Amino acid sequence: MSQTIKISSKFTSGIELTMQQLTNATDYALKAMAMRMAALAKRPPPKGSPVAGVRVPEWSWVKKTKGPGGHNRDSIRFEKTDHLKYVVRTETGYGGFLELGTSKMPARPYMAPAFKEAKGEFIGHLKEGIKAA
Amino acid sequence: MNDPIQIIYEYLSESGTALATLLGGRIWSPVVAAGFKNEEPAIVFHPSGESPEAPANVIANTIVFKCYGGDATFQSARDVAKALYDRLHRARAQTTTGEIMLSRCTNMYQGGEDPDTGWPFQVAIFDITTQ
Repeated sequence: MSQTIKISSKFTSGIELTMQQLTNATDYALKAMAMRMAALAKRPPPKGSPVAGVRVPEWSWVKKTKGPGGHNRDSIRFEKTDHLKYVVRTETGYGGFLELGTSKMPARPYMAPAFKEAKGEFIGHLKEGIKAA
Repeated sequence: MNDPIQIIYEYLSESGTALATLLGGRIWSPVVAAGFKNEEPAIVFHPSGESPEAPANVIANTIVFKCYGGDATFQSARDVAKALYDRLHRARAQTTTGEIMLSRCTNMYQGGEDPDTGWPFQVAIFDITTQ
């Protein structure tokens, strides 16, 4: 005994459209999350933090900032690197040392807390993306 | 408010465990002790974000552990991270100053070499809820 199920082309094209809309919504949500994470990671250190008063020397190749310190924060960028893939990174070359600390310097995490906070808003962004699709 | 660093330190330092035997008290936060030369295994850890949760006095912590193997190889650092995982992943325990309610390893990766000393280390990240 066998049963044949026919699926109309109208139905499958409907599914394709829905999948495309879902992909667009996910991309929108990921981009919003990456933007938010980059913004959160750029937050200045709290008052009293050992990095709050660090100044960029005159001779430094690092781009100057309006206030003291913050050149790692200024170098934080986000970009789309692949299909549904965004990367938030710093360009100073020592951002990882700040995040994890070294054998002589305590860690000053900024990326992980930003990711944690931004991750919590992902579903909200996804809902927005679905509504807009 | 409980002190997650103290609670975790107490739990990891508890004598008689494989981890405590391996580390011999070399568990520090937030940096290694002065004079340490990576000739023995050691662990350094620090909080990387926390969020108080209801009820009061419950804190969900993200803790980053840096594992040093006591020599110049990544394999030794990984062995320390493995011992840490065996001790801490899914642990629930009461310590002198508080309680580990929930502990879960969320990520583990080769951390590279320390920029100041060149010591290789392994990173292990745990979500640990304490009260």
